[in-house]
Amino acid sequence: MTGPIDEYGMDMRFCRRVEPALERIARSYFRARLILEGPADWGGPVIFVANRAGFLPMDAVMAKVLLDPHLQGPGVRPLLEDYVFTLPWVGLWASRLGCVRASQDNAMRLLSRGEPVLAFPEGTKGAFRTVFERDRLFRFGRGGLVRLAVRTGTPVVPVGISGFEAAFPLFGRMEKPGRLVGLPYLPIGPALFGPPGLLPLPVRVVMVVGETLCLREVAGSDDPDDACVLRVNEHVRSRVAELLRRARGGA
Amino acid sequence: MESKDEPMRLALTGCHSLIGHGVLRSLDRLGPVERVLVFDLLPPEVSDPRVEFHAVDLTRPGADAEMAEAMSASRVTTMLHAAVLWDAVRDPGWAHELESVGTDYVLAALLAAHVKRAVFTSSFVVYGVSHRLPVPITESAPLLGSRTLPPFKDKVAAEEAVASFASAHPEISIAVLRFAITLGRDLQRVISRTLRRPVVPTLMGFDPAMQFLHPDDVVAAVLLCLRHDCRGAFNIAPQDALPLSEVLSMGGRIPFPLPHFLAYPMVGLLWNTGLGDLHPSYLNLLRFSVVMDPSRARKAFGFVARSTRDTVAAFYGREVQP
Repeated sequence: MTGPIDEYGMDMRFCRRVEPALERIARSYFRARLILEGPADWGGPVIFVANRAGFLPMDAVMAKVLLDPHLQGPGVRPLLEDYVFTLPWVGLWASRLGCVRASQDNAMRLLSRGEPVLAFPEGTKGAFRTVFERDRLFRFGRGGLVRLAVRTGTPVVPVGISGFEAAFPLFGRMEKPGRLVGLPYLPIGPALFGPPGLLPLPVRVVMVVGETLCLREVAGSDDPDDACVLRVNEHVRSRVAELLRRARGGA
Repeated sequence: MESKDEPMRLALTGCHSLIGHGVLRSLDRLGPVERVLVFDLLPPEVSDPRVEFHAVDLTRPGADAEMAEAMSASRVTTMLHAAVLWDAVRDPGWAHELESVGTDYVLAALLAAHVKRAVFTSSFVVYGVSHRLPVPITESAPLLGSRTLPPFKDKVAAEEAVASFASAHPEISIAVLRFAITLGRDLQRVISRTLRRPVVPTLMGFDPAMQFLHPDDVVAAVLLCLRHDCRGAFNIAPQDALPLSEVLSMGGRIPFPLPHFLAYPMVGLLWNTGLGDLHPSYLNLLRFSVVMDPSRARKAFGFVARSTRDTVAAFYGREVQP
């Protein structure tokens, strides 16, 4: 693809232009800390698996800002929920910064080109987690990600991110009124008061990156059955939960 | 594979559209052509001794028998179905008769006249336009057009009919061409018309990637496909895509951004009252990117379109800003 944007809408010139500003937001506004538990020797295709919080994908962008100095090329491509790309400006800026709609095909395509991806397997529920659920990690989909990682032999890096559930505090989520405004849930929180409520609060953000997992070893085969996929999926989830606890402790 | 053993006897539906007219004017690029049967309401504006006009109304019952009779008499080898709609029309009943039922008539005539090769023309609209589109769209993507582009649900129905016919009759080689948006200086289609205006409506906070085809490339793709024996669906699109904002700035057009939740009802009201020529579902094109993968057509019959950038530059002609 020749042109100013790639087929997912990423604009390298825009990325380079806003990078210093995003870095400043990460360091000064969120006072973000990156803790590496293992060596950062990720080359080529890697799947970072993290918890998601905040219905605006600020955590994905901040994670990209923190991880990219440790990666080559255009950096990590966050995989976001469908609804993000139906929102004005949010979807546009997310895709210009390199975010991609989460789907098996998109993940496969990016990994086969050697680009690392950042997956949030909790899905929409994770994005709309309330402050009461901040320590809870939702179900990791149906294990599609695990199946992909085992089949392709891609290394998986668990990541725990704390802070963003408080940056966009939610006290509840309502499904049916949300549909009326074109969101999966209506976020009950400051966001209801219009644009000023969409600004993130300056909370402290800690991101703990765990050691690289080889899911083929965990699964014991390269073509696992459904039960095995669920078991490995749960293993990854428990690793992310552990890192999330550590991130909270470090805050 | 090119088949050159036998001169082509072509049947063509629709001779006044870009494709029909373009093919009739460039018959020499098809190799040896013995005869061309033209089925349309009005005779073509091309005077060629090989062209034989038959007045057929595809929306009338019995059209299949009329076509089959003429095609059997001239022993037609190849058929091109170009009598399809490229824009939303205000009469969905007529669109259904022409697109969906009309394609059924063409399929019936193909079978009755023992035609060996057929090319159908379709469009990217069969994939629909939404944020859930695959990137890039390959030919195996599901055809969900009726959900996000309801005026084109008959195009999806027609494609489904062609696909099931093709699998039931493997002796006939059938190709379907799915064209990207065609952008031409004198093209009277709603997207070309809208982009020619000095002020172009856009949606606030959206800047989708778009692919545009040059009208000459549309005809070139049809001619290439007719000459080659290839089966299945083919995306006919350029390799690259441009964001809408860049297209407008290339032409020096002024974007007029509207909030999307107001634009849909507003454009819908204009359409329903007959004041506007933009069906509200077209707004999805201003919201979500459509990027097709043209590699299958390149591999099968060597078609490569000029780039979106070149097409847009040609569209805006000398008005392009340096």
